Amino acid sequence: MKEITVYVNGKPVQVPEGASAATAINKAGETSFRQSVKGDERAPLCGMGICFECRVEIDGEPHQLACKRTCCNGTEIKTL
Amino acid sequence: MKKVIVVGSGPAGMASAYCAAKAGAEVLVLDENSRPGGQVWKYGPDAAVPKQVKKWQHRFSQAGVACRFGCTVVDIVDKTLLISCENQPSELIVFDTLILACGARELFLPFPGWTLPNVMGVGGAIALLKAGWSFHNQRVVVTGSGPLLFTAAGELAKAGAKIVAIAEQAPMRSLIKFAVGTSLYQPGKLIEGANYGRHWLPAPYRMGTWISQAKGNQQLREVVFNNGTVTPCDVLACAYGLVANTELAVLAGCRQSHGRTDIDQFQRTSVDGILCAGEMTGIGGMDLSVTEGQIAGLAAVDDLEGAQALIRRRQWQMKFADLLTSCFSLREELKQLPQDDTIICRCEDVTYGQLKALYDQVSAKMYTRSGMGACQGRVCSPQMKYLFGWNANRVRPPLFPVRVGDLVGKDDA
Repeated sequence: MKEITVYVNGKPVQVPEGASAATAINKAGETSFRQSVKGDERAPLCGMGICFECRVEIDGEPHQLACKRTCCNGTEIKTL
Repeated sequence: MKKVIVVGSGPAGMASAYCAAKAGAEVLVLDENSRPGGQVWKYGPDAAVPKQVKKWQHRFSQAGVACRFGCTVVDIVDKTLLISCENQPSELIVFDTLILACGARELFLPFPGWTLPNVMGVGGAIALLKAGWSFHNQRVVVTGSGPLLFTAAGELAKAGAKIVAIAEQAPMRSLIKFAVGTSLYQPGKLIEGANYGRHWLPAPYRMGTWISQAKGNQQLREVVFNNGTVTPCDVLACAYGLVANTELAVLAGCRQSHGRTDIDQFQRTSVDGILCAGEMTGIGGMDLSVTEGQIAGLAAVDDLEGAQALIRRRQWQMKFADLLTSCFSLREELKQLPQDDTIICRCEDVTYGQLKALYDQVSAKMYTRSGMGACQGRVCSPQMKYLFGWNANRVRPPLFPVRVGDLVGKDDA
């Protein structure tokens, strides 16, 4: 399978083509995706676009669901 | 030509789209994911796809159905849908007949520590795994309720996870009843379950056992069961069955009862021109979903004779659905798990202590913002229903958060 390079908080990560942004974040070793309104660390709960706990910034666009968005070569992901 | 729109491309959506298209309708399928299959028929590029699924994938791809992926329906007014799409402007789509096949989500119940990273759903863990999440060498506890626990433990073990424990809240007598019933209605599922067991053994399968706490400082370290057992782990997969995704049907004005969309024998809802199939009409698994999808697809093109021929099969498959409901009913003790500082609404960080002083979901919304965050109550509303007996709030558009630009200029709908 073809591998692509994406950037998680600036760190390059190799993932299979078509992988979700959540997979890339997991592969980069990041455990927290976003901070809750009270400042707690949060990560995916539902894995299917329902819970909104995997919200991250993708290519400069905030509030993207990492579990639903697929990566392209060069995609930049920022956890919040 | 009759224009049929199908929302959702899981088993029910695929089956209905295929049947309607084969009968000559112009069919458009809308799905928020990037591929067809929904959650249960989602497979990675290297996955071994079961025969039945391959058959439907083939039928679906050959049926001449138009598909729009990465598209979410955010509003419905009469015969018009507003859809929000990835990397594209939003659009209005007009239909003659609409088939809703929006599936289900998991029921999460709150307990101290359930908001920690690496505490996830049971289907959630499978979904993340299918998308490439690594569970390799991770110590995983699988708990909650329902046959999905078996599947998840098996799939995770196959992917290299170390299953340290499986805990099912239902008592042993319910599970025996379920096994006997399954061998009668869907014997194949029993064999499937046994096959999964091969992968996660020798992990203990504890019945009548549930999680009471997850511990760790910003990271999961260990879980505590109701019997006091402490089990160190890296991942906790926990969910208590499924909740139908009825929001779009509610917004369309389709009559509901007990959290399900009401249908007649031909899957028609109370709103003219809108049909519904799959988990939205009651949780019953993928075989029932396929049959319901077929009936809906045929009924959508007025082939009532063809639809009629499938009704007996649906009745038989519904027995399995009834079995699921009766065997995995949730025990009262689970209502005692949240403490005053346990978060219920994860979007707005509203605690159990804040909510228990209130009296319904409207007051919860007004005083605490519970259910007003990004997920719009999809996670906490079923919890409030379970914990306090409060019915869900009215559904309002947009059904999912959208960019302001997606709504501008769309007021003619």
